[in-house]
Amino acid sequence: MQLLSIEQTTQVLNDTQKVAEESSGNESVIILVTGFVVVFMVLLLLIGIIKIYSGIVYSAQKKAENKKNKSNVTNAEPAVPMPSVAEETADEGLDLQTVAVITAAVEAFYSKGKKVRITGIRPANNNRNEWASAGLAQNIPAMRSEGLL
Amino acid sequence: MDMLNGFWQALVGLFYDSGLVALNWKNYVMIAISCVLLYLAIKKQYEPLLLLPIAFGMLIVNLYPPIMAAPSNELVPVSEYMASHGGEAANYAIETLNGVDYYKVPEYGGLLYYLYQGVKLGIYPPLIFLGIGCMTDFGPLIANPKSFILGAAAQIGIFFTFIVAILLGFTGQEAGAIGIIGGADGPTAIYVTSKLADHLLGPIAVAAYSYMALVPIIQPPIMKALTTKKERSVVMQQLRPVSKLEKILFPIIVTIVCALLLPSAAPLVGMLMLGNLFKESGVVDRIFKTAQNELMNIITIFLGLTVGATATGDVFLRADTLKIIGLGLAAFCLGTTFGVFFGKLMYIFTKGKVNPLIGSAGVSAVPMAARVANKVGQSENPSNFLLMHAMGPNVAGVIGSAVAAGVLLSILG
Repeated sequence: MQLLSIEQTTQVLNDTQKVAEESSGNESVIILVTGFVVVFMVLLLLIGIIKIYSGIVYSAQKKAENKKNKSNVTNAEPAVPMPSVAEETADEGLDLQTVAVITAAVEAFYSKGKKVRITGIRPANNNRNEWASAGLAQNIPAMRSEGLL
Repeated sequence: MDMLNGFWQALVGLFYDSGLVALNWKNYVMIAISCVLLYLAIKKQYEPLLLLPIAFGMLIVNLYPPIMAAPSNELVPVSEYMASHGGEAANYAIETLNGVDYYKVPEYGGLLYYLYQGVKLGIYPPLIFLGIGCMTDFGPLIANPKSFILGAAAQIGIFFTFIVAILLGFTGQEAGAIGIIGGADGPTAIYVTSKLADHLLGPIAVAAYSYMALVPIIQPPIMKALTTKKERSVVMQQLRPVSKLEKILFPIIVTIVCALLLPSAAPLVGMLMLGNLFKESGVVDRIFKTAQNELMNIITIFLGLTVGATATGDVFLRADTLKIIGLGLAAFCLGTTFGVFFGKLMYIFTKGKVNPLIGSAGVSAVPMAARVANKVGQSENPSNFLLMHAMGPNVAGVIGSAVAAGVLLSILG
């Protein structure tokens, strides 16, 4: 067996270290690329599966709902004609869009899940005269901007 | 006189047994650091549920190191033992050294040593994930599955940090444990570190939870630097309603897919999805409540306390700890950067329908990262509510970080 000199031994050690560093660097890049690809592939697969099963569940539930609605319509009693609120209030100068908005607001705030029937819409009593109303409309924005309201 | 001597000897013995003699300067520095962390946890409320027990564990192990001591065998000469026990022999194993027989008398480990086994054996983090699953609503993610892309993008920071850690001289397993800080997921970080480099558990846990608490400070500058005002002002379309059946099927499907493809991720992903199934099924109310409350609280105490107790002076006060803290910050920033970058790509491909800010929520700091995305969006447009849109990538990030952990454990474990 040939003995190496100190310089040769140092050279071998340095070369071994370089190889180890390069190999470690290569392994790191391999881990980076593998991790990147695997994480994306797994999550992309999950996206595909979720879209498929969501589509299946949605269409199945839609069909069941349509079936239910059809059977409700055939079993429902004939509707009793009710006086139209729109016809009443249109005479007082309110357009249908305003009636719809007021009806929706009342149902949202006061119905508590039950159906409501609007029987009439009348303007609220406003005891302020026109001068007071104008003053209020002028002063409130100014008070807000000064932080008083 | 003999009594006075005996009393004096007892006092001297107590003094030499006390921490005042047994501790070194590193222990005192760690005691000071633990007091700072206690201040941050209590006064500033930085993730107090975990930082407080971690800080206290750090305090107590540096005041009384044997609290974490492993069980050992003390060698006691047989003759001495029998003399002190009225001539009775014992059933201990005997070892002969230099012709003298010694009993191997077992000494129990410290309190926190036994509690720490839950961390070492990888039990506590999956149980924490069980509780997290009970508290998570995957509805926004199911309504918009593309959020998974943002959850995946934010995990890229883990792997880039891994390379930088290797270049700084850490081993592959240490680098993997440091990189996982970028997932912004405490239980995942603790789970991976306990498997790959448990000697770094203390610094990594402190770094991970500190950065999670600093999300509102770290993320906004990066988000604003990478996006334009127009992009930040995008108002997204309302999410579709998600049915109960979809929410029940989701955890079952995710468990099957992830466990089949990446078995090493099965403990974390499986427990997360089990917790979610408890919540969504609606038929196991008792165990759902237990998993979400009592179990979660008990495990949080044990986990925090024992993780903090690994932070002794010898482990924590090293140059490597500063590197870990710096790399942890880099991992966090890179995760946010890639998340926003992929958010911008989605903005381009959807022709302006996706707000890129939600990409930053791909780091799994739930729900803080989603709140930050919402806040930054509202700073441009006060009527823009991004919270539910950002929750999709946020919870996707939890799954993404668990998958990334599985990849690291699979390759490096």
